[in-house]
Amino acid sequence: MAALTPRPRPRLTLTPAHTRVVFGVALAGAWLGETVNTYEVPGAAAIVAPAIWSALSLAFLAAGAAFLYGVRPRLSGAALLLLLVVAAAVEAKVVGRAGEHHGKHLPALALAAMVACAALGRERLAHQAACGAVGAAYVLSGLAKLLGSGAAWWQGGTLGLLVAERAVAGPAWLAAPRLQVALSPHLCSVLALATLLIECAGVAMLWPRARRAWAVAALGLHAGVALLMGYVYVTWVMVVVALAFGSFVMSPHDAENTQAAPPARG
Amino acid sequence: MSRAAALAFVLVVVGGLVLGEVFPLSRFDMYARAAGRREGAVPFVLADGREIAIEDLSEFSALDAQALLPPGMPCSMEYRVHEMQSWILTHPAHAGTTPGPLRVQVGYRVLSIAGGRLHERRVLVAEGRAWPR
Repeated sequence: MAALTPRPRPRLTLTPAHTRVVFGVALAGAWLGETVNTYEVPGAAAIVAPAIWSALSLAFLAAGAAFLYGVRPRLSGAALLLLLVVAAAVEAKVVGRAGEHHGKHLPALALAAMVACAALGRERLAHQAACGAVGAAYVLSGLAKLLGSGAAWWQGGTLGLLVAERAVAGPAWLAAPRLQVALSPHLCSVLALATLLIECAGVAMLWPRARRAWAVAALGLHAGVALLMGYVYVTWVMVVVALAFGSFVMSPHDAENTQAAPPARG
Repeated sequence: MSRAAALAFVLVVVGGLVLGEVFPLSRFDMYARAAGRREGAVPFVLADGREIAIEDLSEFSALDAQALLPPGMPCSMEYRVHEMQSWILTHPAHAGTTPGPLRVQVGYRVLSIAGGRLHERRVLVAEGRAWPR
């Protein structure tokens, strides 16, 4: 009679090691953003007691550490995703406006894709699925501009006015360069068109060999958005870097079994 | 091309377009309808006529936070207006105390670009008193 052996648990290995830090910063940024957005609203503490939020934050921290160190990734990933969904629901209830803060979306989309693969028993596809989901977010952003404004979106005046608003309202040291850009319709057209092209080129995340080149372009896009518009999307940058330059290998077997397994013959 | 990536890509694109803002899905349509605007409103705060950050003031009295929203003009910085509203609501003057010495005015710089130049007119929307922090 064969001895009963415990069913192997999946493990998640992030390589190189700093991928763990990069994706961790993205997750932490998503949670921190939720916290700030929720509690800057008067009366938020009456809807969600800070003690409860603190407990949720500790749970997020624990689940995040477990996920990033590959411990029970199916469970810890699902817990992380669930906590982000709860936080987003609380934010929507407290703030009263949904979809305004996008910082939380990319870490959650990448997680959702990984967790879905694990739940379907397709752990090895987790990284690929996360790349597809993240690329889709950028393509959606480009599509929204095309559907919402069409070719008028990259006419100079559109971006020019947005940048001019941030020139008068942003930090003093950026006022002059922002104003110079805003008053140059040709430059604004080029920048707007480049934005649209890079966003739509998010489809490159479907091809492993194209990911790094597109990620560099996306980093340039985020740098430009930060300088001209003042939006620093740290979580998005970190997710793109983690997925394009790192590797998330979710194995259906635990590490000990894998190491102990004899080499296959024949 | 990775088939898993392609499947996730299609699910997120279709889900975002069909369902909209159902976290973690979204249409990510920030500023997607920005084309065609001729003017943009930027909020500002004055304390005794001097421009100041709202966070440098406290104990507001007679300043209606609800009146801060831009009156019928496009504003791409409403997040800032909401932050200002929150600050005012969470830092009210205590009942029975003396109103602050500073005259606080909140308004909008209404910007437009024409002839290669930036044009600006100012609109005041609310007024009250506060103490410096």
